[in-house]
Amino acid sequence: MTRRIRSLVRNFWLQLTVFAVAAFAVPWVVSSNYTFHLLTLSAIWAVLAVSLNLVMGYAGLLSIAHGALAMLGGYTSSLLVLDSSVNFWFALVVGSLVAALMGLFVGVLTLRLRGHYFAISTLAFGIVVSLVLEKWGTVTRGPRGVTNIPPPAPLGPLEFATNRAKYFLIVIILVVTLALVRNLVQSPFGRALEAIRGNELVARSLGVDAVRYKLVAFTISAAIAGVSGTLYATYINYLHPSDASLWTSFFALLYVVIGGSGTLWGPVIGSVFVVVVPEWLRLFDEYRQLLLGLVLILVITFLPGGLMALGSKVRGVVKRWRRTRVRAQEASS
Amino acid sequence: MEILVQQLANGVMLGAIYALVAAGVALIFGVLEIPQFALGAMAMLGAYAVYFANVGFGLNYWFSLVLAGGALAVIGAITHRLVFHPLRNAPGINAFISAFGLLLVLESGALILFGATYRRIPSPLGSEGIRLLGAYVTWQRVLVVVVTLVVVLILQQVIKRTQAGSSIRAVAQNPVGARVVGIDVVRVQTATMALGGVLAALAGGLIAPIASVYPTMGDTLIVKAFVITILGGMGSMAGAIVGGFVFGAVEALGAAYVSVDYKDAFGFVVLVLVLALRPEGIFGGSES
Repeated sequence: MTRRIRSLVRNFWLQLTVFAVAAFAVPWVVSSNYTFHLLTLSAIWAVLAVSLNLVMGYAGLLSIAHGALAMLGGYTSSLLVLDSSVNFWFALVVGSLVAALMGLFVGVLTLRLRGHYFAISTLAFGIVVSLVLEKWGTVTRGPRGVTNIPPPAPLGPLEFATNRAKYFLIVIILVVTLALVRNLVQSPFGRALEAIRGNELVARSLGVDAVRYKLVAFTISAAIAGVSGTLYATYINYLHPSDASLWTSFFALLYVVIGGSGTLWGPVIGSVFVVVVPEWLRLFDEYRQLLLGLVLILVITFLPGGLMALGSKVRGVVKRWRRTRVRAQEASS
Repeated sequence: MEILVQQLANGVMLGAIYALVAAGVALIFGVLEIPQFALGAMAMLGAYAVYFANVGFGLNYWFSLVLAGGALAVIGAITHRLVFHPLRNAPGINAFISAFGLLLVLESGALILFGATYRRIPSPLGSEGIRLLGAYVTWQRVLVVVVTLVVVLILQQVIKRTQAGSSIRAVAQNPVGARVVGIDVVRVQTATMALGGVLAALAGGLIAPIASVYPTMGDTLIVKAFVITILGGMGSMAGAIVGGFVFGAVEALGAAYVSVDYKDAFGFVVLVLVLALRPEGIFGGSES
C-alpha cells in the first residue's frame, strides 16, 4: 500500500497537475500584491531556469548566455509588436526563433571544443548582446530602453491585460515547458544527453553523435529562454539593455544550482526560493547579493544536489548519527 | 598616423593590464584546471588596497602596490582553501559555479564596505608624459607596460628555473605523478592561487591611477582576460600575454577606425574567428 502511494507521489504527471492547480489557486490565496508580483517573477524565471537546466543539468553544459538569449527573445518580440505592429503571439514565436538561431550559432562555434571553452564563449556572447542592445540605438532604442510594451494580444475571448491574466498565461507556459522538458529528458534523446554528461568518450564510442545532441539541446533550450524573455517584457512592460547583462544569466544559474540541477523540479523550487526568500528577509540589494553568493558556494560544496537533495541528505545525516549513537551505547554497555 | 600611434599606445597599455590578469587565469587553469572567475574581483580589491594604502595612509605608491600584492596573495590562498579545495573531487562545472559565487561575495562585500563611489588615485608620476611619433603618452601608461613586462619576465624565469617553479610545472603536468615524487600538491595549488591573486592585484593597482576604483571595475577585465586565455590557448602563459597585447591593440584600432561605440565588442569578434578557424588557440598545442 505504502509502495503504491509512494509511486503515485513520484508520478510526474500527478506532480505536474498538483503544481498547476496550486499555482492557479495562488491569486485567491495570496492577498498581498507584492507577494503576487514576486511569485509571477519567479514563475517567469522558472521558465528560464528550466531551459537552462536542460543543457546544464542534463547535458552538463554551463551556459552563461541564457540571460542574453532570453532578452534577445524579449527585445525581438517587443520591438516587432511596437514598431511593426506584429501580432503578439507571432512575435513571441519569432523572438523564440531568433534566440534559438543565436544559440545554434554559438553552439556550432564552441560545442566541438571540450572543457570550459563553451562556458567562456557563452559569457562573451552575453556581453556582446547587451553591448549591441545598448549601442544599436536606431533599432533597440539604446540606453533609454524599450518602454510601454503592451500586454499580450487577446486570444479569442481571453484577455491578458491584467496582472492576474498574465500570471495565468505564465503559469500555463511554465507547465507546458516542464512537460516538454520532462518528455525530452525521458526520451532516447535525453538518455543520450545524460550519457554524454556522464562520460562523453564512452557515449561517443557507443555511436552517440555527442556534438549534434548537445547542439540540439542547446538550441531547444535557447528557444525556451527566448519565450521567457518575452514573458518578462510583457509583464514588466519595460526592457533595458542591462536586463541582458551577465547578472540575469548568473541568476538563472543560481536558480538551477540552488534548486537542484539535473532534476525536473529543482529549477522551479530554486527560482521561488531565490526570488521570494531574500524579500522576506528584507535585505538591501548588496546584502542580498552577498548572501546569495555565500549560499551558492555552500550549496555547491555541501549540497551539490541543491534543495531537491535536502531531504535525502538530512535523512543520511540522521541515519549516520543514529548509527554512531547505537555504537556508542554498545561500546559503553 | 598620429591617431594610429595614439590609439595603439592606449591599446598596448590596456593590453598590458589584460595580459596580467590573463596570465593569472592561465596559470591557475594550467595548474588547477579551475577557471578562476573571481580574479577580476581580486583585481578590484587590489586597486582598493592601493587606494587605502596610498591615499588613506599616505604611503608611497610603489610600497602600496607591494602591500596590495601581499594582501591579495593571502586572500587568494585563503579562498582557495575555503572555496576551491573542498571541490577538488567534484565535476569541473562546480568549481566554475563556485568562482561565480566568490565573485558575487567579493563584489557585494566591497560595495558594502567601500560604497559605490568612484575613487581616484593620483598617478605617482604626475600627468607628465612623452611625445612618441606625434602621440602624447603619459608616464603612468608607459609604467603600466614596463611593470607588466618586468613582472611577466620574472614570473616566467621563476617558473622555468627555480625549484618552486618546477614543482608548479610538475603539478600542472601530472598532479598524481607530482605527489608520487614527493611534491606537496595542495601547497603548490594554494601557492598558485596566491600568485594569481598577486597578478590580479598588480593589474588593479596599475590601472587605478588611470581609470577609477569602484566595486564592479573587475567585471569587464575578467571577461576579457578569459577570452584572451582562450585566444592564447587555455593554460598557456605566453599565449595569455601575447593575447593580452593583441586584444588591447585590436580594441584600440577597432575603436579608432570602425566604431567607438563597439570598442568592447571587437575582441569578441576576434574570439569568434579564432574559435572558427583555430579552436586550440593561437598558441595552444595539441596536448590536452
